[in-house]
Amino acid sequence: MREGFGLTARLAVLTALLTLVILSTIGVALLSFGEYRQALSRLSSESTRALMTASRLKQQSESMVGSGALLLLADDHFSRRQAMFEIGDREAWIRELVVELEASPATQGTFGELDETLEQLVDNLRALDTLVQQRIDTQAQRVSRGLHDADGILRLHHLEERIAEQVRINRTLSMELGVAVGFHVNHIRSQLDTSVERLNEEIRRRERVLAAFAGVAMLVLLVTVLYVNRSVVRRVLQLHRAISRQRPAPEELDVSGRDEIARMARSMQRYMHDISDNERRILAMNRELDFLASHDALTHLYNRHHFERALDARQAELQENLYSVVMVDIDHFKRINDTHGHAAGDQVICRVAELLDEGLPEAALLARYGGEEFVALVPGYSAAALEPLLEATRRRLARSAIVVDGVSLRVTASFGVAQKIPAAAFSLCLKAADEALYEAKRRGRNRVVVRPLRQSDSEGGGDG
Amino acid sequence: MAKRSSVMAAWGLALLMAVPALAVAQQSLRVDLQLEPPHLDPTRTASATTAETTHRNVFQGLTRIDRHGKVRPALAQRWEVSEDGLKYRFWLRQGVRFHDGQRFDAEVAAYSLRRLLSEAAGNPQRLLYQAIREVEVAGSHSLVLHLSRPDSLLPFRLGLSAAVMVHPASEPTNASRPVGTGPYAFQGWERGEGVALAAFAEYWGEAPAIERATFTYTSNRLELEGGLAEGLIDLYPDASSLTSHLALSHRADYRILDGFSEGEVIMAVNHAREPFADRRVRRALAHAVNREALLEIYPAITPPLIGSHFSPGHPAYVDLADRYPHDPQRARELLADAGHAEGLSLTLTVPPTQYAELSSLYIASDLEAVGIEVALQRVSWPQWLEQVFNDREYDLTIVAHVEPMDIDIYARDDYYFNYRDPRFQALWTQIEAAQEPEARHALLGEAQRHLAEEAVNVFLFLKPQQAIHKVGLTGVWSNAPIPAVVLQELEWE
Repeated sequence: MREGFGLTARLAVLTALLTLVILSTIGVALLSFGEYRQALSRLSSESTRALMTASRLKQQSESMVGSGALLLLADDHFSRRQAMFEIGDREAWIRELVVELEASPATQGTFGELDETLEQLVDNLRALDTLVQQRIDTQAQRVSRGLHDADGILRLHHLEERIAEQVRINRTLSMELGVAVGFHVNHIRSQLDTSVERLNEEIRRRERVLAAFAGVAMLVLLVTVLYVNRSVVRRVLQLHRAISRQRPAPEELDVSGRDEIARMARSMQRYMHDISDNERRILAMNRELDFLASHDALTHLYNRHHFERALDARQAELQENLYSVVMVDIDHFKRINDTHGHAAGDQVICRVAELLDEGLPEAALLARYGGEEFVALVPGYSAAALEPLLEATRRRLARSAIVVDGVSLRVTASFGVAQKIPAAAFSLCLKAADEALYEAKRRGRNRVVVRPLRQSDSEGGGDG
Repeated sequence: MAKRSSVMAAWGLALLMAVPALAVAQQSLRVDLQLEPPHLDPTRTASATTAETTHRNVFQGLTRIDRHGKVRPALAQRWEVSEDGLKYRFWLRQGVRFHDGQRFDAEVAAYSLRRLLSEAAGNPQRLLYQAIREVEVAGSHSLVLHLSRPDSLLPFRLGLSAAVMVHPASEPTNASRPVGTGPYAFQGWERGEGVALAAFAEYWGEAPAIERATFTYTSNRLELEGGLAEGLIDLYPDASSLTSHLALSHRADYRILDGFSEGEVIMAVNHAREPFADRRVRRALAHAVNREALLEIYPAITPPLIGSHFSPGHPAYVDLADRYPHDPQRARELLADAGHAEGLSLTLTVPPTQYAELSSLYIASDLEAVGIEVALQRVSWPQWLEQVFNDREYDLTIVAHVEPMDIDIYARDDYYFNYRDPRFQALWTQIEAAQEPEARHALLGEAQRHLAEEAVNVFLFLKPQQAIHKVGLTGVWSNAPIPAVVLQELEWE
């Protein structure tokens, strides 16, 4: 039974393979989605955040100049302190942002330079604060001491010069800070670009892999379809064709292989063989029946029924051509039957039939016409031409002894012959032959009597 | 029928796909506070920022104080007071669990309260609960508090962040990993990233609408205003003194509420420092500061001025705001009288709050105007707690006392003002013993007057609490009767 599941197993393997390829494709797609999600969130959480931080850093660095200007413009301690608060806040935020950037995986390189510049800038702003503080105090003193405070004016002048110097340094440092921050912003941006490009490349690569997987899936599908077509559909169709023929031919069936369809083919072949065997038997029986219907069972000569049917079929031929009809009757047959029994009678009949069959021409249509009576239509023969043949047969019969159960019997037969009566029906000729037979019996049996031709024969019809 | 159900299925699918996207945006919240907490155990610090982060979110008390300042049941479902006012019986809620799975019952509650009263445990508000003589477990979920004297405010006090329920198993690590019974469980605290909270799945009450919340701390004004301008912050409880207040009030995505806290903003004076032992110097400070002008730091609200350490909302409030009018001349005279005619040189230590920073600029100018040289010392919040609050290394500082009804701090022997006055302590003992509200209020009035007369500190104004929040966020408290950001009451529309 194990050999019977080959097809199922192979189809299962193919289906499993197809499923595997499809699942792998889905798996690769899911994996890819997961990776893109990760990459995207990395981009958003690291790079974008770093870029935002760096942008804030740049903005705050640049705003330092504005805070410095606020400090420069301060003409009382309130404004000065306010400016210094702002500078302090900005410095603290910048430091925080720098720490954040340093910790970010999206950045690399050192921030030492940036730190240093910031340090210098803040120190410079503190120095500026001290100068502005002095300026405010000096101004206040000048106001309290009166306008002609030459010393105050001089000091103020010096202060203004030093403030101007600080402001210049401040400007340079701010620019340096901006450049230092810009370097990092640029680095992050280019990294972001690289990451996006890498991600794109990775997506393209995965697209190719997915396409390849889809291709393999199609291929496996194609193989499956071809396989199913070759090993299932075509064989089933072949089976269908083989059994749909007028005459099914079991030998045309392909029964090779060990799978389910091969099993089915073998069953069908067996079945078809059985059917044709039966058919052959029926045909033989038919032939036998046919023979029995047209022949005499004892002598195997045609029977009277066949003889008459054959005459009907040859009507046209008989009208055209010459023929003769012979009627034969075994002499004293009843006596043989009564004396030696039916079996002996049958043997006699058989022997006579044999001799008649041998003695008459090949083309003669010989039949057993009654119990011990025979008839023969001999085409192409005139009665005169036939007579010697019949005479020879009569003599052979009369001469030869028929041995039945050790008893030798002498049997004779009477022959009546009639030639075709022109323009008359066959039945007339048959009747004439019968009359001639009667004449032979009347004349003492064991002889051949030929009905002589009469004047009236040529005129058609007959006088009986 | 089949068609209809397939349409329904399609709708269902569409909803399934649509809902999570919406939910992500609407179930999280970023709250920004100005001061980074020193740690997250509200029973161990006076820093209100710890309470704002954890109280009512992570930790809960037996009672709670609602947005109107009323006492409501919390972990205690109800309570009863004996006629003499000396015995409180609390019936505790059943089936309450801490975030680590521990059970809350009367034993745990008794442990929490005994710990609150123990001097060794170091609860800075311990003295508020002095009336409790004994904590008795009267059943698995029943607790009796025996008082040494009646204290009608006890249920209110039990709703303060200092009296939250803690479990002995998690108590030692609450500072870094707080474990309470509240609707939100602590997820993590990364310096710079803030404190992450997430709705506690086994919370005994109704599940909160907001699933995840992050508290961030931004003391840098520029950074804070930057964060608000970028729309990164969903709720900031105190936008009162922001420079960008006006600009933000015009933004379509933000809403600013007008409200007040219970916080008295004061310029605290270190009485242990030499010049301030002299009342004349303290009074000179009070006259020197132009408090009316100081209110300019609030562009959109005018908070009430105060003259003592008491909230104008309290029935016992006495208006002493005009006790020391702005009078630089008088200030100079008082300083001269005290022997400081040549001026003084002082340091004003400024914590990183908006109101303190802005006020310090005005106050510095005011003090300089009367001959006091002022150095502004800006410190971080942990620094302030260490240097000013613990070590008392300061001359002057500006700070808001947001705990409600905390005038008793002047009766403490050991508080960062270093103010020790037997007269006030005696007065406070009387107040505590006072049964009748009228008598009590009268005594409270006297206490206010005493502090004003002594010019213990320079009392400035009641701290406004103008919360700024994203439009669509509902349930934000407009007033702050206690320092708390109650996430449970918030919801995105």
